[in-house]
Amino acid sequence: MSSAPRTLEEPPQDHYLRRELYALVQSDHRIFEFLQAGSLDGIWYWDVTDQDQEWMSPRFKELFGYSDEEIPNTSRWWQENIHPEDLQLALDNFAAHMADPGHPYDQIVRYRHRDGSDVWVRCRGLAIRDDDGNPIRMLGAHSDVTELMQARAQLEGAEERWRTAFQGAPIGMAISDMQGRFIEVNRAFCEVLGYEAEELRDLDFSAVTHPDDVDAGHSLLEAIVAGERETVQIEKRYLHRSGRIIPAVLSVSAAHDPDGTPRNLIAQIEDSTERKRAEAELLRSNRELEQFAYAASHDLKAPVRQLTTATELLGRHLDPALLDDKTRSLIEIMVSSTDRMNSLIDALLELAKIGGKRDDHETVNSSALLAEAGDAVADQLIRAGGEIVMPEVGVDFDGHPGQLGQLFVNLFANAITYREPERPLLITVEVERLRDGAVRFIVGDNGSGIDPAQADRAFQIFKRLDPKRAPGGTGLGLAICRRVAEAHSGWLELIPERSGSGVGTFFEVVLGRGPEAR
Amino acid sequence: MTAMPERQNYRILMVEDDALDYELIMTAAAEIGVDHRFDRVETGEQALERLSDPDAALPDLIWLDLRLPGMDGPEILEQIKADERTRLIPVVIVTSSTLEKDRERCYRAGASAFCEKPRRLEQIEQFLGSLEDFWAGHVLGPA
Repeated sequence: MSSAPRTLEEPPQDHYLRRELYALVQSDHRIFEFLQAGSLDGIWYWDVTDQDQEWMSPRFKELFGYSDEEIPNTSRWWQENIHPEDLQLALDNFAAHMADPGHPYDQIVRYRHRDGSDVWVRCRGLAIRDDDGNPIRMLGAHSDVTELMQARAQLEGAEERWRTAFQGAPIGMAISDMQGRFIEVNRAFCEVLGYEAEELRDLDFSAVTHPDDVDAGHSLLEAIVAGERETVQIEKRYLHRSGRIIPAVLSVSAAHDPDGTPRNLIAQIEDSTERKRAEAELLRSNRELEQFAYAASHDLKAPVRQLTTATELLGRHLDPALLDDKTRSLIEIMVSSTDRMNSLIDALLELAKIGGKRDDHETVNSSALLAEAGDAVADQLIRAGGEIVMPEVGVDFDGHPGQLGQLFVNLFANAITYREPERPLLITVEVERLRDGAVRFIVGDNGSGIDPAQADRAFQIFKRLDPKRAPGGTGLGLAICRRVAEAHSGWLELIPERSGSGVGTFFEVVLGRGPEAR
Repeated sequence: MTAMPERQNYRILMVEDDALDYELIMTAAAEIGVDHRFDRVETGEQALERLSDPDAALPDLIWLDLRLPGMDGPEILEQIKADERTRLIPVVIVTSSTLEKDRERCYRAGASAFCEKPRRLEQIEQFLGSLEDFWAGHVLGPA
């Protein structure tokens, strides 16, 4: 050990420990041994004057799966076991370093392990020169970087997969900072807004947002920054570069740092121009269809009416001598057929009249509604020996009293028509207000029931499951009920769990909620 | 309202563009034995012209179809109700419309009744009979 005094002023390269270590390396072989075996993954020492000769440390060989004895100390071995492309790189660097000591001999190369796998090695070397500056030896060291390279490849793969998904996504995607300034945008995003990616990179969302929607966008950002909302979806209007308004559905989520601080916003936008157009078109064509159905049924009424009157008049005008039983019965058939045609047209008119208009809605009380519907079928009910059990409490909601009344009259009348003769008819009605404000009715009976598999048919226009039981039926009753429910932002469905052939029929009527909530 | 003759022999102005409806009602009325005097015009314009003739006798009742070429029922009705001479004549809308808004418009314009066009002989008889009630004072719409 050196006993040289140490001073704080000593420059780093003259530190006493450095001097001491350098001296130790020269005097004590164990130091070098420790370095080559313990802290490096192989050392090589190459005779540049006789280039076949090269000593490789046991650790060098061990890295590739061999013992010291199994590999001869010749340069041939490594040149045959290094990846051919990397051999060229190593030889090129070697030549350059020989000519110019300032050119580093330092590269990452692949070796073939005994088991066939690749071993990634960072290989650095230094030429040792004679007094004239001619290289005579190369000293080099290996560091195993296989794990590092594998991790990098994995990361690159993940990055590549992410980029492909991002760029190729059919919906517009953008990554921005927490102020909404775009950092990265994908092709679809550019296409929706008519910009190049580079142009958007300097902008924030408000530059491409309809002025009326900018404030809403800012409050959205604030909610996300404050952590109140994780993901938000809104409909908003963007501005195309050309100034055109683009209606779109925007979903925004925050990407967080490991400590939970929101770092980036990930936005996805879906151009809904086409959907909006299709919705408007559907609304228009529905309205047209309603008008057509109404006009057609209205116009059908006149000839049917005239046929009825004319047929009856004909019967009265015929010479009594000609009016035998057969003729009389034929005239009756003609009249009853026109009667039936008239009811069908009336029912079609009813169906066509039920639109989605809200202006004629008013506050309706469920108890009053059900009581009125019950009164309307009271005679039939008494004749059938049946009973309706109404709910004890009522709820108020918005609706069209006439249409809703018809809905329940139709359901009650259906229950009476399709009762089970074996047992007294019992109709039950339940009502409850759902958490979202919608109102749910359940109308059930113990009649002959509908097989749930047949339920869809029961709702079709002109479909009567059992025409013999309802000779006067139009086959429009349930279709009308369903349309009324739908015109009240709701639906009418059979409850399959509670319905069945011979068991009874239970319908669920939900009013005051969008059909998409089903 | 003017004093009515004893016998049911009233003058009815029928504003009806459907010739078949008119012919069948006439035939049915004769069959049933109702002998109101029906004058038929096909449009509202003709009806108003007829009503404005100072020499012609006013009808006891106006039978008004809802959908007509030119002015429609409620428009004609408003004119009738705006004229001092004709405003007290009961007007019955006879239509195949079942639309609530049609019914409302007609009553608001001063219709005495809003009826579906009768079809069966029985209904026609009832309907023609009920028209007489307008003079007996039994049925008075919100006019």
